Amino acid sequence: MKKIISYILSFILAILIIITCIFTMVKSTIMNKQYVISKLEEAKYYERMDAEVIDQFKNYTIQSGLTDDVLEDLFTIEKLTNDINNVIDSIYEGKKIEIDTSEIIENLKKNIEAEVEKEGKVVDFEEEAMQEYLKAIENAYESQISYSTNVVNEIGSTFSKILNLADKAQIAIYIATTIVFLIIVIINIKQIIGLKYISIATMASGLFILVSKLIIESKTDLKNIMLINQATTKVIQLVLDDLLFKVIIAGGILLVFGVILSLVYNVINKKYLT
Amino acid sequence: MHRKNQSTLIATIINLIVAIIFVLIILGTIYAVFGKSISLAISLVNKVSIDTSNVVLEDVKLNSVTKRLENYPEYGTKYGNLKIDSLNVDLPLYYGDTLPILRNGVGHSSGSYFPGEGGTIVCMAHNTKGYLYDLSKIEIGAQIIIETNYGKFTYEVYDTKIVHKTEVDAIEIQNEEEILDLYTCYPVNTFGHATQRFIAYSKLVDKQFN
Repeated sequence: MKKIISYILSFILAILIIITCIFTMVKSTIMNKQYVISKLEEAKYYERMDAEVIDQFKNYTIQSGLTDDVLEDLFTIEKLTNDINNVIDSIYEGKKIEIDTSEIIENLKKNIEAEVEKEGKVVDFEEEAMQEYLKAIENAYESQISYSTNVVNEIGSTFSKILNLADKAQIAIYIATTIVFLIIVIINIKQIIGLKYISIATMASGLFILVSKLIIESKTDLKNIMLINQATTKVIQLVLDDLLFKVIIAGGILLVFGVILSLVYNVINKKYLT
Repeated sequence: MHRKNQSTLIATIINLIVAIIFVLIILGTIYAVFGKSISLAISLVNKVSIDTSNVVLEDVKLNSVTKRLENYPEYGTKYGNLKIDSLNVDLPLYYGDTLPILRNGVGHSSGSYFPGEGGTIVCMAHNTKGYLYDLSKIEIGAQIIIETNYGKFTYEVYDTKIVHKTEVDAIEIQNEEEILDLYTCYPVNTFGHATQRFIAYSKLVDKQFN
């Protein structure tokens, strides 16, 4: 009876270790604002976005009768960086954001007037055609930075609540794992404190993590993900590479540790108890 | 000593086998409970994955029985050329009509038929120099040629129209006869995004398959 209970507790401990590992990995990466910002810097995200935004502007300018010269100096890299970081703050802290494009539009208008003047013409910014072009540029900037401010605000309010709950959930998981561990130790105190069952749980959790990684990689094409634009995709790929690396390390350590524990248990068991 | 080592190893292997059984139970339970959600998640991830390492323009062929293409070109790829000799136009023709595609040449609306399929083909390009700047000067009877790796298709212009960009009825998708609707923004030489469209309607007058 004690053996059956111990095996069941070992199974539960394996599940709790798996959850702890996954939770810790996610909390230290995707749920960590500083980590995400470091990945943005590693991926040269701000510089890439600068190029992406201008490239998107060119898509609208080509059909506007104007040259790409009107896109010179519309915004600085500092403004872009600031806007992107505001989006990150909104997602992680639930702050409402609004991206200010007024300066961009004013600079664009000045550039358009200068270009049109060279041809001896005058531009009417109130005309529908020009209004549509300016609106397209405004929307292009906003959508490249944040996809959609409404969506970001929605995500931010939900995600920040999840982050708050995550701290509490983490504590609960640690407590549950410790309790199950202690119960195994207590009921097997005379059998080398239940090392056998702890080793099985550790090996199982390590194996599960490694096998899951293999299954995910075989079923999905993670290496070729493309989302929103190249700059965002690069960041996502860096985060995924990091996560998969952490998975290998965690799974490997757990498996090896479990094997060592099992060997230690069996050596002591043979030497002293039989 | 040797026997003790052997029995220690066997005992450890037994513990490992138990661990494997635990893993199988956990995986089986996850699959049983969340199988559908996992499949959906996998397909969503694969939907946003683009494998560019093996992308080649496969041989696109027209099935003469079904009058449909076999191996449609990948979205965003060049699959032909569009020529209007009377306007000195010779542009690459791409499948798709996104803004990045239109920067490269003529776009082909994904909601329309392909040359040779016997339906409406909708193509468009910008009205700037180097694109369809002179399209509004096209005359009735002028020829528009689409050359693909599966055939050469000649269309003759029979009508032109200027419509507001919201008049979507101006282009009708049908499959009773092969019509090419080629359009661009109108008027030219305006600043900003023109709110009208110039459409040249043309009928298939000749086809040569490769």
